[in-house]
Order: sequence, then structure tokens, then C-alpha cells
Amino acid sequence: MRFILHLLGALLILLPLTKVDLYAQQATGSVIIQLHHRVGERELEPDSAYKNSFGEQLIISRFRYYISNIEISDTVTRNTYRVSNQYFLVDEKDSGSKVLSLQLPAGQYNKISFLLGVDSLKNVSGIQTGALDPLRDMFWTWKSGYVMAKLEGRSSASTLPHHIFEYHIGGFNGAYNVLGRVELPLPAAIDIIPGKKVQVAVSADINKWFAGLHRLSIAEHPACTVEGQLAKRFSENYLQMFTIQSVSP
Amino acid sequence: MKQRIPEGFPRPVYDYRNNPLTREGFELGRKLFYDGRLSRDGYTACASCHQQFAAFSDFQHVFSHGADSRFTRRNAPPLFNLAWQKEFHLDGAINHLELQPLAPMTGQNEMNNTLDSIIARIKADAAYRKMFSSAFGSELVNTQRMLWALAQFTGNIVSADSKYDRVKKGKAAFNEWEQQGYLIFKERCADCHTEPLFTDLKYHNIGLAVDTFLNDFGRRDITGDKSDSLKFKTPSLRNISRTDPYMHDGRYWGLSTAIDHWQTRSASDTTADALILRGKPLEKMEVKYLVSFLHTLLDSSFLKDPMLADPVQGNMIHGPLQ
Ligand code: HEC
Ligand code: HEC
Repeated sequence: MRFILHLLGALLILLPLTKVDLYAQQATGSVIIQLHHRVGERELEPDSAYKNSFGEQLIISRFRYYISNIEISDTVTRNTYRVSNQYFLVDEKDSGSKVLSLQLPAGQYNKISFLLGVDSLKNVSGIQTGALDPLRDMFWTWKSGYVMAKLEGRSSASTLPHHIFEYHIGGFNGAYNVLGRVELPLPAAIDIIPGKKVQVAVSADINKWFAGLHRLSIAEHPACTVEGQLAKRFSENYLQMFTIQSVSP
Repeated sequence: MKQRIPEGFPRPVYDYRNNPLTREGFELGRKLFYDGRLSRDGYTACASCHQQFAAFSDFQHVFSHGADSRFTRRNAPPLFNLAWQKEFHLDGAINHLELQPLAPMTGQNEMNNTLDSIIARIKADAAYRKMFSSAFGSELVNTQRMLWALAQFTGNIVSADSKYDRVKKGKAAFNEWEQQGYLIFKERCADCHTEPLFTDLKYHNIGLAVDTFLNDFGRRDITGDKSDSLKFKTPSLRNISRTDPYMHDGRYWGLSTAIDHWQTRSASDTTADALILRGKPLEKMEVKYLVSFLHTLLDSSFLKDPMLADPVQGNMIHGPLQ
């Protein structure tokens, strides 16, 4: 009896592992998400000037954000593949960071979704490494927590010294939690088969930071670097910045 | 190496499950704690503001000197029994023991450095590379390993060998004043300064008027909640006779003033903790008894524990009388 109990215990422990193993053995295909940063219709280029919907000038010097907890799913079969424990720091300055390469089991999928930011759990779990290393300058050291997204630059509309604007958006709990899921239905279902690579081009429109759910002009809000209602509003705006541009093949 | 957990203490919050404790890791953490090169000016170590003989507070300083001659905004608290804390700093701004060092390392009025430059300095030092290798299996130096090592040291700064502890174990006895003091303590103080840690680890407003120069509203600045205004984390009273001056801004010298929150509270503050609003100031004799009792919380073996001392002799600050 005792032996059987032990065996059962061992099986229970092994069970989750075997599941992962099965995944590994299962032939997989890949989805490559390529992020394209834009302002309105125009692709973002270094040191160029753009205008937001308020007609305010924008010169962007830094644009970075975290993507995590990606899910690729099929809304018909409810089949969902979760990319666990992978954190991507997307940085306008680093073209490699704009390509998110995912391996997933064969099957049909018609939706991509992800968390914009670093989930609350990782915000309270001590020192992390890789994309989550505080060295990446996306962590508040005076009050623990990740900056989920950063947008910095200059604008003639800004009243701050040197006409800078600076948005560091964070807050992982309470009323001003800025975390939100971005849901991107694919224009048509994709078939993942072994060895196949599907490219999904996603565009992120920076104009939405200012003109999304809320109207937030640079003249009125040249900076937001702490948690709170304004940060929450910026997040509600930027959560709308993503759209699927194309899927191939 | 085993985590130091005194008899009678609750289970620690920080337990090294994700950061396996080794003697090598602890020694690396100790070296980092005492190393001034972690700061921009090369002189300000953690230990500059947290000195062992002062129970790892800053001896007789209201505010501490950071790198490049700047001052901290708060009185440096003593450091011990940190593995039992869920939150750090007097307002609870930091949510994890491993993350805490990031604040002083990058704080302009503390060590005023950047992580890049700290890591570059460590990497350039062969002795450090060797220590990282013995602690973590390879010479890789990164933020995570550095902070894991620091947590192996700071989490094992443990104080639980005072006269009070010996009395509790039946190995010593309070004298009459101490005993009187302990009884008053249990009645008037223990709700907040709860045994055995001598803190409930919660935030309270004891009615101290805000310093209009510092404008430090404590917990409120972290939660954004008005009802948290002027709340500060209850400090432990262990080793309290060594950590003069007192309160978050070091406004009081001497225990007799610091312990009578009913005397020091501002009459106009109606938002202070109910225990403070309702209670009455301590009698003269009660103060004397309490102070006697508080002296039994001094853990002199901890203040001299060679395991916690500067690994490089003569490197740093010496005892109170230089
Ligand atoms: C310039 C002085 C200074 C230096 C250097 C310094 N500290 Fe501190 N330390 C302080 C002050 C002041 C506080 C209180 C901060 C607050 O409440 O905002 C503090 C708080 C702490 C706390 C929180 C204690 C508690 O009970 O919540 C820990 C832990 C700590 N320091 C560890 C360190 C470590 C580790 C280092 C080195 C990496 C370090 N300190 C460097 C002054 C300093
Ligand atoms: C309502 C909760 C509460 C009660 C009751 C209380 N204290 Fe405190 N005590 C605090 C808090 C909170 C602080 C920190 C205040 C600050 O830093 O501004 C503090 C600070 C102190 C300090 C200064 C500690 C330091 O490191 O700066 C001493 C000493 C002290 N209390 C002793 C006592 C004694 C003795 C009693 C009983 C006679 C008592 N307290 C009752 C909450 C309380």
C-alpha cells in the first residue's frame, strides 16, 4: 500500500513534466512577430520629426516596452498555447528586439494576445535577470516595480526644460494598475505545421499614446513618471496602439 | 550553510528557496556590503551608513552622508532580522529583500552609482571573479548574482541573543525595574512593537507633526492613500539603546523622549493611531522602568559577531570612540 502511495506521489510529480516533454517531442512550427513602430501612417526613423493628432511636434529618442504572457489561441476550438516565463523588452533602438520568435505546437490559431508589461507576480518575486534585469533601466529602484513602457523625446509643445517629454508608465497593483492585455484577432486562421514559419507583422502607433481612449496632449502633460491616474490613462491609450499589419504566408 | 533562525521566531518571509545559501555566497555578500567601490565616489559602502557596532544603523547621525557629500532624507535604520520583513524602508517602498540594495546603489544621495558601473568594477577585480565563481559556479557577474549574494549576507544579520532572550529561555532573570518595565511594555507598546521581533511590521501614525522642511508623509507617498498619511513602519526595539537618534527623521535624542508617543504627539493631529489618541502620557517612573527594560534588548554578541564584521580588517569605520 505504502509503495503504491509513493508510486502515485512520484507519478503526480512527474505528470507536469511529462506534459512539457510531450510538447518538446511534438513537432513544432514557429510564429515570428515582427513589430513595426509608426506615428500615424509614417514608419518611425531615428531623429525624424512627426506630428501627433494634436498637431504637436514629436522627436522620439526612446521607445521601449515589455511584452509578456503571450497567448496564441483558436477562438473556435479554444485551443490555447501559452508562452510562459518569456519576457520581451522591445526597444526601438534595437532591431533584434522587435522580432519575437515563438515555437508552438502544430495546430490552427486565429488570435494572438499578450500582456503589455511585466505581470504582477514578477514584480514581487525579487531580482530577475535577462530582459528583466534592472540594469535594463526599466525598473524603479526607489519603489519596487517595473516601468512597463517608456516614451521619451522632444516637442516644441512641451513646457519642460529643453522641450523634453518623458513618460515612464508603471504600477502593477491597486487602482492604478497599468497592466492590460492586448488582443489581436488574426485576419484569417493560420495553420502551424512542423517546420513552417508564419510571419505576423504588428504595428504600434505611437500617436495612440496621445489620442487613444483619452486625449492627452504634450502641452498639457509633458511628463508622467510616477504611478497614478495619469499613468493609468496613458496605459489605456497605449494599449490601443497595436494592430495586425499583415500575416504571411 | 544554514539560514539563521532563532528559536521561538516565526517562519521567515525570505527563505533562500530561490537563492540557495552557501558559505561562499554569504562571504561574497559580506565583501560587497563592506566595499566602498560600489558607490560612485569609491568610498561609500553599505557599511558606511550601517555600522555593526551601532546594530547596523548609522551611529549618532540624524541623516547619513552619501557619496559626493549629500545627505539621506531619513535616519538610517538598524539592520537585523530582515528575513522576517515583507517590505523594506520606513514607508515599505521596497517589496523584496533582494531588491532593496538597488535603492541605495542608484540613489543620488546615497551611493550615486549605476548598475553598469558597479558591475564593470566588480568584473575588473580578479578576487571578485573568483568569489562569484565559488559562490555561483562560474565567473559571470550580473545584477542577479550580486543581489543574491547581498541577500545571503543581509538575511543572516540576525539578532536574538539579548538578556531579554535569555530571560525568555530561563537562563537569566530581569531585575525589578526591568520586570516592571516589561509589564508596562506589554500593556502599552506590544500592540505595535510586538514580540519576538518587537515590531508588527505594519505602518502607524504616532502623531508626530510633519517636519515642514522634509515633508515626509511616509506610507502615503507609496500607496497614494490619504489614510496612510504620516504612517511609518513600526521599528523593532531590539538594540534600541544603540541606535540614537530616533524616529524616521532622527528628531529625538534619548530613549525617554522617544518612547512617550503620547507626550510627543501633536495635539492637532486627529488622524493618529487610536492607541495613541486614546492613551495618556507615561508617568515619570513608567518611563524609567521602560528604559530599563529596553536596555535588556541589547544583543552585545551580535554587535561583535565576527561573521558579520568587515572581512578586511582595518578597512573601515571603527567603534564609537575613535
Ligand atoms: C548613505 C547612507 C546609506 C547607504 C550607503 C546605504 N544605506 Fe541602507 N538605508 C539608509 C537609509 C537612510 C535607509 C532608510 C530608507 C528609507 O526608509 O527610505 C536605509 C534602509 C535600508 C534597509 C531597509 C531596512 C528596513 O528595516 O526596512 C536595508 C535592508 C538597507 N538599508 C541595506 C543597505 C544595503 C545592502 C546597502 C548597500 C548596498 C545600503 N543599505 C546602503 C542609508 C544608507
Ligand atoms: C500605535 C503603535 C505604537 C505604539 C502603541 C508604540 N509605538 Fe513606538 N513607534 C511606533 C512607530 C510607527 C514608530 C516610528 C515612528 C517614526 O519613525 O516616525 C515608533 C517609534 C518608536 C521608537 C523609536 C525607534 C527608532 O528606531 O527610531 C521607540 C524607542 C519606541 N517607538 C518605543 C515605544 C514604546 C516603549 C512604546 C510603549 C510605551 C511604544 N513605542 C508604543 C509605533 C508604536
